[in-house]
Amino acid sequence: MVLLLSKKLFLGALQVAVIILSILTLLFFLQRLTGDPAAVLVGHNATPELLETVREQMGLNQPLHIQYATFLGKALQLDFGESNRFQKPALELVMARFPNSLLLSVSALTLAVLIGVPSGIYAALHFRRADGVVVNLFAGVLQSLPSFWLGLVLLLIFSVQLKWVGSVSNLEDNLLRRMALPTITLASFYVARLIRLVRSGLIDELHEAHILTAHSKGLKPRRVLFVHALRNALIPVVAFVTLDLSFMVGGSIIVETLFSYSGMGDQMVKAIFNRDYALVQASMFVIVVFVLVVNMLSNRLYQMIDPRIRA
Amino acid sequence: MNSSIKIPTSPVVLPAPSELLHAPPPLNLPRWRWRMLQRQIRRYGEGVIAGIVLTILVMAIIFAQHLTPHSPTAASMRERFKPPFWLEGGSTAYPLGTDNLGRDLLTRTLYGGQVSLGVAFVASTAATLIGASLGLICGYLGGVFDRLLLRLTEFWVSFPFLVLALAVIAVVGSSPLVLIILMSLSGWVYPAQVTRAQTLKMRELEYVHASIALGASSQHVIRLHIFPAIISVNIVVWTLSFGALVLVESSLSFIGLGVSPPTPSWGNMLNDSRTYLQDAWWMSVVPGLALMMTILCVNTVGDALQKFSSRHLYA
Repeated sequence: MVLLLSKKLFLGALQVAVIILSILTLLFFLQRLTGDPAAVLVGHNATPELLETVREQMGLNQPLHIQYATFLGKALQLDFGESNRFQKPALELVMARFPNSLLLSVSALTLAVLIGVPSGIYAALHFRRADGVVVNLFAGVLQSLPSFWLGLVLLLIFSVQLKWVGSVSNLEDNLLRRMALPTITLASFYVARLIRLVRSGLIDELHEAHILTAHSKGLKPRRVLFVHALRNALIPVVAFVTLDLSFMVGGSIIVETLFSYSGMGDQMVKAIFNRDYALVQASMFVIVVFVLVVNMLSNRLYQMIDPRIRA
Repeated sequence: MNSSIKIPTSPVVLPAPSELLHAPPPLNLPRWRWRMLQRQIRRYGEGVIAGIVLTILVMAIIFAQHLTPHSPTAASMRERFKPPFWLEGGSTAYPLGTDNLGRDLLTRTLYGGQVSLGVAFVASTAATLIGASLGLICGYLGGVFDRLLLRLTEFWVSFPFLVLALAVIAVVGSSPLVLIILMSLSGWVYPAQVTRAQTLKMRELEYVHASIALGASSQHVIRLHIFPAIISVNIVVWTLSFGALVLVESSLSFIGLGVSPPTPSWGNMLNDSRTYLQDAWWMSVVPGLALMMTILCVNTVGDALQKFSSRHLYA
């Protein structure tokens, strides 16, 4: 048993290591493909001597495999170099933004669960009635709504027309005013997905034989719903909430850019426009490691909730 | 079929199975037909309506050159920020208003659709073809190939695609071709998984076993037994991934890393509109509505196709 567990852990760690290694390799070669990083740094009207000194400093005169090894060695020490725009270590800049991004993702996910799960239960219980159908249709429309467009329309209504919030989320505002629109925008898609997941899962579950048994035992309908049906129906929902985090990361990049929310995604997109590769690399590294860690944790959680898939 | 063969002991002559299948319905009452029709409408009605709307939309986008007198890129500064025709100051020459450079918004939305839908169409087709072939080959061969495919899909799914796309675009720049390649690379996993599962299921069916036992070649089995089942599944997958990729393309263009102006795409039109949110709300509403309508219709059609294929086809 212990052997089995350690083998599994080992395989998981190996997988993470392979993924991180391939990302680093990709980052390295993509950067080298585009030409001379030193030339980007010194600008196009620099003297050849200056260019040569910068190349010397950055170690660009060495053969490619030595450069690659140095890059990997530095990356494993979490050293991605300095951001050439802010003159600070890139990883430090990214980690300064990390709590903001985490706050946005977590609050959006919380909001989505708080709205999505009860609405899904409602839609499932009334799935033949008009109101249940309306909830389901609403979820369908919400799912097709591009999040950035929803964000634009929300800005149009609440910022331009009603002037309740500013059009960019600046840090001086209080937390609610700053977070409200980005959170709602990011949560919208997940609300829709959750409604549909909970609804279809619960409808299937309510038609199972053990629900009929529970009813015929004379249990209260509420107990049957929450203890017998919902617990099974929520298993895929838990998987969705945790496993789909990679989509959440992508979505939050878009939403952060739209609202100029000071998170990792916004910083990364700006760094791309500024050709600040150290910052881009550090951002990517942090995001990918974060997603991988959450994926591993959620696999654990999933196995804990549903003993059937522990095999 | 067998009616010429008399079976003396049994007074009832049962029809052969093939006759049962093609026999006319036992009742042909209007009410029966009506019930049937009602049920079909309830099941597929929204899918059909969405399909019709989508067809009209796509036709308008494809034939945009012949439908509008305006150019999508030529600016005219005198016509800036015209509102839609029902508002004061609007004119029917520009039915949905003009943008910050005086370009007709309806024209730009139609032309933008050519780019957005074109890129998504090519990418989703490529992704489905790649994924389905991989899924078919690995699912049919099994063994090492199958395990390899499983590992690869696991690896791919756990990877945040948009981050990868951004990294590649940061370095090589953005063009429709780059977008198509990136989107195909992101989209092949789902068709591969679905096709693999379907292939495994079909391969274990008894009539397929029988066919192999009778000496059928792999080529014969794949072509005759597995291929039809895969086609129907992949049509659904293709539809849904098309909708998803339209969204990806417009998201990338929206943050300025997809199709670059002056070529209109729904994403970069929405990006342009952010600056003029105060002055011209129609600039953000019109392309957004087009985008939403397209994705909604594609998803609805996809759902209906899924329902249909799970009821009537191999699933």
